[in-house]
Amino acid sequence: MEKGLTVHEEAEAYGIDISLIRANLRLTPAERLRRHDKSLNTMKKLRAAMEKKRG
Amino acid sequence: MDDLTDIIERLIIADVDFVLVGGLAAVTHGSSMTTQDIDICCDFSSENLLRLQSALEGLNPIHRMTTNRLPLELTRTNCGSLKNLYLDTDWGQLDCLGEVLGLGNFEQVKQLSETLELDGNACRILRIDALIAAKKAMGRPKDIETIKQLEAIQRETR
Repeated sequence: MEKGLTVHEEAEAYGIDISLIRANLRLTPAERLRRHDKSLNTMKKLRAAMEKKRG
Repeated sequence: MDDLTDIIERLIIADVDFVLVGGLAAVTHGSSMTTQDIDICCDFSSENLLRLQSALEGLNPIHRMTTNRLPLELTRTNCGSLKNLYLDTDWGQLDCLGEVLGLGNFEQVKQLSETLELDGNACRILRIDALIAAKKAMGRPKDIETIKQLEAIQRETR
């Protein structure tokens, strides 16, 4: 850890969005997994759309 | 509701002027990274922000960065002071940026976008070269691998 930085400050400097982590922590583990699944479905759909465009 | 593309679809249907940027744009171009939120750069005119608010109706959007997680309650008057919106909704997180570091304001970002057909709707997404430039401008250690991936994708798809 860099001198003088808290764990949160160091994470934010690295590029981690702490507010996203806090939002995840408000969810139950099952809800977190469901959100993750939704994200994966979204990524799959967007990748497929780009592949279709590239032919 | 299957995924975050339903939020994107709502934005398109509500005629919100936006470009998909950030992690989902990187994934769309082929990066193997994962992300949980939607990042868009959008026109921060009151008209566009009110359309955005209407697109999120029923999803209980709140300001994620505020201590009390205040609900999104935009009016023609309070829209003017906004530069970014970091929202949490029942369907996931949506970050709205008025500009992208290294690229410029929404109109400049729009010039650097391409159109993709998503579930029958035209969706604007940041071009890969612009995405690399934006990630480099951010200078965050987290983005180093994504930049390397995007540069490799650029070479593969030329």
